[in-house]
Amino acid sequence: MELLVHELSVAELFNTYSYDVLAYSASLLKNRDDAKDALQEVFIRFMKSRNEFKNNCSVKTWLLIITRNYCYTKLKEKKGAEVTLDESFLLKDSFNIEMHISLQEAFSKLTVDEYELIYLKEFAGYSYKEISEILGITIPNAKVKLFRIRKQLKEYLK
Amino acid sequence: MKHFEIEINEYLDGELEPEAQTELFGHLSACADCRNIFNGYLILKKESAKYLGKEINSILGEVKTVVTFPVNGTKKAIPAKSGIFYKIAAYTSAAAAALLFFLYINLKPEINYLKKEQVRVDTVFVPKEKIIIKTVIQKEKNNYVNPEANQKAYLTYISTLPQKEMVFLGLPENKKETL
Repeated sequence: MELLVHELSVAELFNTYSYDVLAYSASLLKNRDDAKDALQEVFIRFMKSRNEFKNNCSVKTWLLIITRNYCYTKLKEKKGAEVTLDESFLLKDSFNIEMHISLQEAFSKLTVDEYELIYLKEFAGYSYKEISEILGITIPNAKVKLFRIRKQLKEYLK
Repeated sequence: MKHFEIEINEYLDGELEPEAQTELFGHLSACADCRNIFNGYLILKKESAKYLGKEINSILGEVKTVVTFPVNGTKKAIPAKSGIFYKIAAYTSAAAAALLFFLYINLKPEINYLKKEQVRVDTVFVPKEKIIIKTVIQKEKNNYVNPEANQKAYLTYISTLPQKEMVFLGLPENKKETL
């Protein structure tokens, strides 16, 4: 059940959604410290603009919209920042190495927008509706984009 | 034959309507190409989720939970009542209560009440000037007071009183001297 913003204290919101914000910002910024800064900044912005919230979407979606705006601003500041993948996690587990390397190559070919969309669906598990709210696009558009990215990934993996 | 690629994607995302699902399954049973497409997307979805999870964990260092803040109204942690502290406190209190009860029962001070037959009430009449009633309580049975001796004792008592009290009693002022 989605919670309304006025029903929760900031501490409760932080306890509930901090990992979502942290993981989302990490997926975009590709850096642990930047992600932690983002988490802090997102909740500061949230507290400042709390009274302006009109309940158009869920609190979680709103927090992720703030996260997205912050991360894109950060990426613009860095200029030319590209999606680079950390290879330190390779060879750690019994993960299929061949599949992993090929996925790494495939994901490295995605743009930031495409990567973000696939992250929101496959890792965070959001619905089409939530994704469309976070990205500020329509549901059919989110759906079509997602299918296109999947097709693209499949092509890379061939 | 029409392929159901979009429906397969929607189904794997958990967003395909139940009626459309029936149609999709009917088609999959008859179309080998769509079954291959289905398997391809299923593997891609699973592996993508794994890959992204590992990537996020590598960035965040296996962070699963972020520092949590105490929420208003949360009760303070209370030590378990089965702890050694509670046991010692409970046994000590019980022993103290038992000791106090024992002392109360055994060291209770005795109160001796006089019986009816141990009490005698005498009325003393003083002739002429005034009648004064004096109650004498005697503890011992059969120890009757001699009225004459009583009267004598009364007069002795009167003689010791100061002048004011003698007036109060209605005695003449020079009575003390005569006594």
